[in-house]
Amino acid sequence: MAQSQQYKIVEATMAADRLGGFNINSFDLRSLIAELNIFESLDKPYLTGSVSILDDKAIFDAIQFQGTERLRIKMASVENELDVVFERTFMMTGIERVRKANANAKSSMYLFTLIDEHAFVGRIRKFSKSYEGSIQTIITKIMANEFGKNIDLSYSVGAPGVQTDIKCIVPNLTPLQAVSWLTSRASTETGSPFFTYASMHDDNIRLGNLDVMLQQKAFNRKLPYTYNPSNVSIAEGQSELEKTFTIKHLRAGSMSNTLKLIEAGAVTSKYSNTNLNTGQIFSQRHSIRKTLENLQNKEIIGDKQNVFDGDFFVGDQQIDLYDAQRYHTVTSTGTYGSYKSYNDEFDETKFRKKLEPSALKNHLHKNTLNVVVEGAGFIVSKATVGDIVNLKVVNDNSMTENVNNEDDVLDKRMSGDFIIYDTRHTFQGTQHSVSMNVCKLERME
Amino acid sequence: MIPTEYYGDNTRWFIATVVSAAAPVGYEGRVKIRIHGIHSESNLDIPEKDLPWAQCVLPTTEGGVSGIGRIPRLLPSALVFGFFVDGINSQTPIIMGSLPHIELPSDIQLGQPEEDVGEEKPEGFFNKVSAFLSSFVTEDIRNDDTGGLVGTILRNRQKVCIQFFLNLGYTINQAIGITAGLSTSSRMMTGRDGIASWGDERYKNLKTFSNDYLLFTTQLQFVAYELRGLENAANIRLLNTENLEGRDGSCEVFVKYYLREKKKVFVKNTERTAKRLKDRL
Repeated sequence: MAQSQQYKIVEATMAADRLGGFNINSFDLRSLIAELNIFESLDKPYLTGSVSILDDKAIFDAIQFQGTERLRIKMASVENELDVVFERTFMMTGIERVRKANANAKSSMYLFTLIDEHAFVGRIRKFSKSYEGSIQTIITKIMANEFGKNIDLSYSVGAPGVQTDIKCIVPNLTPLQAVSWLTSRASTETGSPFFTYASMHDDNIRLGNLDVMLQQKAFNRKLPYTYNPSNVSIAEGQSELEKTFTIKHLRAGSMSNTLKLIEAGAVTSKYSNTNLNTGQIFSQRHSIRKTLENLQNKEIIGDKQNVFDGDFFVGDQQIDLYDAQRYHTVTSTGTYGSYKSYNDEFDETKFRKKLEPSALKNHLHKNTLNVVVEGAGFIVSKATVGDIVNLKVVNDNSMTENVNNEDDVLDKRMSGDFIIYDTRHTFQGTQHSVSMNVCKLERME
Repeated sequence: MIPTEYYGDNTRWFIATVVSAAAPVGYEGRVKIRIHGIHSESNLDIPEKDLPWAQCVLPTTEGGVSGIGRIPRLLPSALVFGFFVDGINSQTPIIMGSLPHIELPSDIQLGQPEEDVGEEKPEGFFNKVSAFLSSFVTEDIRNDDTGGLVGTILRNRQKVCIQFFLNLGYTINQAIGITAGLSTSSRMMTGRDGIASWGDERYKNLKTFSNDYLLFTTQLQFVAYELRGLENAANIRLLNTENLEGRDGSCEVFVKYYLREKKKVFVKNTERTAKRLKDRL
């Protein structure tokens, strides 16, 4: 891994079509930016952001901001401005907050919301169109036709979707809604969900699944992010690079709410379907126990999953024998001729794959941490949402007599490999930090 | 995506047009439909081959089991009502019944650009209908003549009038009843109160309807426009008529409810004119 680096904004140009666009009349906001935030999420095929601008030249009064402006941002390393690490044009969709910044009220601090241009386009029109092929193929076509974006499928190689080809008609949705609608229908053979998401490191949209994500090595496996605030001597002995892999802040969100998961049908549920073409009813049960066992058998996760307590009894039976949700759907094979529709499954055992993706997603959020670290490692390694990050967090045990090795002092729940679910990159001057929400399905081994 | 736990909590109804009723073997009883507001009207977006074969609900007087009872008799261009059993996913339509309707030429048939639809005055719509029908108007009708008409022109106007209402979906007896009523009312003269001898208020509406309100064809369009709008009650009665003459015949209904003429002698004169028209046809 390269040496720690600092990054700065080398271009922040605002323009609007009504003012002539970037080539005719643009405004250099570089020196006015107080803070820039870029958000990535596994649930969004686009980036969002916010930018705080200290306006002491009455620019926003002069241009009569409309929420139709564009902001082109370019970031590069402090040492070499040609080493561009991030370049993107955002739509400035609105002003979230304005306040006078100093006592004589001669400047104002504006907080603008930002969104990728393709996300803006993807929300402002609805379409109705027919497609046939695998769900991944259809998503790729929509991305290419409606957004002009390429799909990076490398995060689904080796674990393709289990659903066979379908024919569907997008029922008057926006392109973004259509992509989300289709993604929610896809799963791997193990029931893992698919995600369409964007990264700040390139312009492509990624289509990946949990199976592939969980099988990756942590991008920082050689240099885990470490949380050990009390051990100053260790920090003093660290190199500059190692110091950037120190966790600045750690917070556990609401966790382990099993009742909520059960109520949502994520732990166990019954699924039935009536096929109107034949009148037959097919029933199946979903249990997260089987889904997790399947993931373990395929060595996608280790044997220490910690999101489901299989020994939990309520009354006289195990928790996953209750039907907290009873889904019943209706399909009609033949509606699209020999093709499957969005709802159909010719192999009825695959109906369970409609439930497993959201169940796994819900369980993934059972172990969630918010971690703040320095951003250099993310830029150098091109780490993004969907990647694995390794954390080492010391446990709460003050008794240190029986410590034989480093793992004995680690909090096994908060340490180990986590999936990065959301990130917020914050740039202030040359400071770059990343606040990430991470989650996992298993206890550190 | 499963929208709700129970499918019945998530229904979405629709109106659709049947595009094919020739279901292939194995899909008997289904019809292929294009759903208004969900399926793009453009064949480029959704070719006919991609449209769904919807199942149809049959009355409870049918057996409801395989091989027993009748199958749906829907025809292409039928307007149907139904619902999606999969709610907002909107992929699995079921047809509940059909809606009788009067078929007018579509925008494509009229050569009307799609983007113009919805931004026009009522006159525009009827102008299109008229333009479509103009190919049938081969006779000399002296369209802009508002005065008295010689025999041939009057007969030509009567012929065009019958053709006009036939093409709007009225039966031959209904079209003749309308034509006879208008002839009795005004001898098809467009001057003064117009071909239907409209009173002040309705004549004012005619002027609002079109700047060319004195043209014979414009006034025919206005009759159709009124029947579909403010005079809808007369139209419903008229559409229910079968005979030309007698009680509840098309002549009497048109005279009483559209022309608002209460004199029996007026009805008799209209029926006489209608008989002549029918004989001539």
